[in-house]
Amino acid sequence: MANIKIDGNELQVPDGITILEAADIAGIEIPHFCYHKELSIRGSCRMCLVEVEKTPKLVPACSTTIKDGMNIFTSSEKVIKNRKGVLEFFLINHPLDCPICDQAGECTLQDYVYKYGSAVSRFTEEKEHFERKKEIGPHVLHYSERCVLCGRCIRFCEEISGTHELARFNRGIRCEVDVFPGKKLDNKLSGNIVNLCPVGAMVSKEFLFKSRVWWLTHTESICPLCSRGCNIEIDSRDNRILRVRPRPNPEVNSQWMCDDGRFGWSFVHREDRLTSPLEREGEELVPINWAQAISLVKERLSFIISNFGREAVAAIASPYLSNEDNYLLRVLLHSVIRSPSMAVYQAAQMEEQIVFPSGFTIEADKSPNLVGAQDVMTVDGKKPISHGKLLKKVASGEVRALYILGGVPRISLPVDEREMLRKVDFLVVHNYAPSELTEWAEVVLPNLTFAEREGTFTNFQGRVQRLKPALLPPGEAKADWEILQEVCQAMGGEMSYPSVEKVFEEIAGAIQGYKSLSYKDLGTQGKVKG
Amino acid sequence: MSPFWIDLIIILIKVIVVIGALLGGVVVMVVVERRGAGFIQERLGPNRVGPWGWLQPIADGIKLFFKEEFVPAQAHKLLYLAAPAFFMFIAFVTFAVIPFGDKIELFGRTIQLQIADVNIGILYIFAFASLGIYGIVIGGWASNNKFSLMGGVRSAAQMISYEVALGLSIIGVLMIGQSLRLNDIIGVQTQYWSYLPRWNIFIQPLGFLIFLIAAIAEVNRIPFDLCEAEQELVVGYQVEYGSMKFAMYYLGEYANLITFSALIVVLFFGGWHIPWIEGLTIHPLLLALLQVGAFVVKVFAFLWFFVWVRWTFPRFRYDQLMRFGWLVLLPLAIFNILATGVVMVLIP
Amino acid sequence: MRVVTPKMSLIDRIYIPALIKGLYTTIKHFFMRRFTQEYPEEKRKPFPRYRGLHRLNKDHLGRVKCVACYMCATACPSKCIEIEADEAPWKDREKYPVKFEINTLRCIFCGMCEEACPELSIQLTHIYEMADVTREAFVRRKDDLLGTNEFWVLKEY
Ligand code: SF4
Ligand code: SF4
Ligand code: SF4
Ligand code: SF4
Ligand code: FES
Repeated sequence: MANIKIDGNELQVPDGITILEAADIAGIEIPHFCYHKELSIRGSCRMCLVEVEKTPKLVPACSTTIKDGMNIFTSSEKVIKNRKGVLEFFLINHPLDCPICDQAGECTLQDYVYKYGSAVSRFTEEKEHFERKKEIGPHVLHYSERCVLCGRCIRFCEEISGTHELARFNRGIRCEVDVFPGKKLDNKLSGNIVNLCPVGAMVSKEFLFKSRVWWLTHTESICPLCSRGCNIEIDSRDNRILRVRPRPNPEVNSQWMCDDGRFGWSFVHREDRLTSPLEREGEELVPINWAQAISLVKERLSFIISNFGREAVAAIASPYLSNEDNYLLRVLLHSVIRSPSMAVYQAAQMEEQIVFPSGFTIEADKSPNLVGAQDVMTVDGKKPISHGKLLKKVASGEVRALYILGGVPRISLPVDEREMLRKVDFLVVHNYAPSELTEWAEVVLPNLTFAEREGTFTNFQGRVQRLKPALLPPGEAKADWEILQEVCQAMGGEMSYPSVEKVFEEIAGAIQGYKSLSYKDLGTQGKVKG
Repeated sequence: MSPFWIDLIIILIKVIVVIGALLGGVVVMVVVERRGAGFIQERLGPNRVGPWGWLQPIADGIKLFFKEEFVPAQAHKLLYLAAPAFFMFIAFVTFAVIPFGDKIELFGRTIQLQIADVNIGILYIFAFASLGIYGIVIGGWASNNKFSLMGGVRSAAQMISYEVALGLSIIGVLMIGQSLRLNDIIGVQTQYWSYLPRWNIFIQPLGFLIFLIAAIAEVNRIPFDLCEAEQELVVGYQVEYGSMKFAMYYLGEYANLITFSALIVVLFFGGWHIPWIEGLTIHPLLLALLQVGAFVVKVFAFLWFFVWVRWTFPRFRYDQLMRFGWLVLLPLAIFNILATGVVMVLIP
Repeated sequence: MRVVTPKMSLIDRIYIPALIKGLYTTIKHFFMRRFTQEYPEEKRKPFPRYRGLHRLNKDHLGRVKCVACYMCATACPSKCIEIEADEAPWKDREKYPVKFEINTLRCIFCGMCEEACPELSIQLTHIYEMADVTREAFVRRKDDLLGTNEFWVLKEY
């Protein structure tokens, strides 16, 4: 422990940390560009210089370690003058495109100049110009002019993704960041560079000119595209997602997310989203209303139960839906119908796991909630079987009615499994859009995607994390747990859950490992189950 | 032709002329009021229809005529429809006893320039003027609207309060004229004190003042338009009235106004009398015409005065109105009678 | 605080002099100059800084000057400007508005948009004759707003 003084505040900080980190603990902001928490320290931007007593010159806060008895001034006259000077240098060749720069509103340079810089420029010469909007990768556009040469992007490619695509080229005012000749910034983490860049030098191709950032609504959620469950923030406007950004969570995704998740949400806005319940009439699915749909499901299920017994009804839970949704399926099967035939959908082939040098891993399992789905479908210690095994029972005539929760974005079933779906007497499917599952379904009930859903996912580590709804559901679509609750009630169940929270409470009471959790305490970072 | 038929025809002609004149007067008043208001407020007022805006009332009439006939739900239909007609009828009928000129000799017949020379003319006027209030109260009640009803009730209360002062204020005049016949009252006023005409205004200034104020209240005009009171009651008893029914109220109001102006002229300003004209030698028919003209000019002077007052003063508050009627006007009127009586006894 | 009612003299209490004074005042105005402007024949000349219908200015090549920065839409207190930005079809320009609409029914003609614009692209002209019969007509589209310019030059105020 070291005793130091920052701007007159005495405090104790751990040994070995830098002045910048110590100031952070003290709640004092020191402006900086090149320093980034997850990257190595370079000390190249000179924005963070502060004054230390008995030191003749200003020292960089980002790279100077704390010593016992240090007396630091972060806003002395000298420091303020330095900041002004540094910012003026940054702006010499800066195009000041703020009106057409996507970064404006969340631009560090803009904020710093506003706070610490001067309002007028003394530079009257022609500015140096570079090629604008250079396409350096499939997702990233580069504006050299706006770059402050902090080197974060380069270090990211070296240290986090380990792909080494970027470097500085040329010297002096011609110095710029670029990809090596013939290379592309096309690693699976390239999107992070856009967030990493403190200015608008790296911008997202997908988001380019879509909206000004101050009009976006930010919703904390979980990425639904692999079992890591990266913490994300959904930025939406007018009920449309415009971009997705990672949200820091040191236990799960640090500060990053992969490009699959970042750009893979387009299915939410599919043109063919289902907006009302559908009933099969011959080849076609025709819209009906909810009351009709629920009573139809009840009627057909009751018919099967009375003719073929309770075991003839089976259900397949979905690892793409939340714990609460799957739990209500368990309630329907286990408590209301009292049939043991429960399975969880498992994709036949998984993609390869990708591990980056920094340790960031894109998981092989592409479903976000397999662990959770299996947890909630486990009855009396008996794990649910895989959907493949369950479908085999259809052939033997053991299963006559099938209740499937869908929500799988890219589904491809083997031919024999699809055949089985066709053979079932009565098939109910929850899905957000037509897919292979709905092909033979007798009743299709429209459910939600992750962006509209509230609930929890349990990631591969067993961390239970919350999703919050960013969008309003399309048409009459409803959350699966709401639909299932109605089916349960129609089938004679006496349960009633007014909110997701109540369902979660019951999960916490009933499912092993969830006992220590409560919905409110999950917070923004989630909690590991016991 | 028997004299009976000739009399009848003459009366019919008089009736038609008077009603025509009244309607004409209303039309003129509409323009005068609206443009006068404009001028007083440094605006132009309606000046688009016809020269100087003179055809504006016609445009208004056409507009009102083509408006939807509307009867509110739950209204008492018969009374609702009858009220405005009744109001207008009363307003026009009241004018019947007003003499608008001296007798003329035509084709050997003496024709009184007055529809009916009733010997209790003044009572007749008062009786009918107070009947007019029924048009308002019934209309207000039959519309089934609380604002209307309130307007009607207020109007009735106001009428009762001011009718008393109105009636008492002219007792002095009647005492001097020694008759209830309007022609007699004018007759007295055609005499002179040396050179000054004996108009009642000079003898009864207090009576005149009370009468003037009470008359404004009687015709429901600002500052006594408590029954309309746009700000509080929307327009009071007229809220539910549109198209021609509204027009009838409108006509009736202006007809009332003209009647009361005429009454003021008759009671206090010598009626059709033109002072000092007796010394000149003029053809009697021309003289009669001049006298009718003088009467019209005097009436218009008062009509303008009403307009002028309307665009000058704000409305009374209800309690002020009542207090003023009962505690100021009434005692003053009684005092006026007493004073007149005393003077008449002392100076026979 | 106690409000002290001023004491009224006898003359005040008789009221009649005050009434006569009132009548005198109104009749004085009867003869004063009238302020009415007879509108369709007599056009009002707006003050130099009058704020009427917006126009979108053009650059030296006749293209819309606006760079779709949304500053005006951000500054607008009635949120009546709707812009959709896209990449510009021209080499020397990057961003431009494909859609630029002002709902003049919602607009309060405060001029904030003009003040916020970094490009001097949006300006409020002196046009005040904007009446129309459909709601749609009040939503001025990009082309209308670009055309405002000529319209304004043509009309002599
Ligand atoms: S990088 Fe920042 S300062 Fe530079 S143009 Fe973009 S928003 Fe403005
Ligand atoms: S592109 Fe951005 S992150 Fe990279 S050096 Fe320039 S400013 Fe830094
Ligand atoms: S004038 Fe004001 S209200 Fe109208 S568009 Fe401009 S900023 Fe918005
Ligand atoms: S502020 Fe100016 S440049 Fe920016 S969007 Fe509005 S009109 Fe266009
Ligand atoms: S942050 Fe310290 S020098 Fe850049």
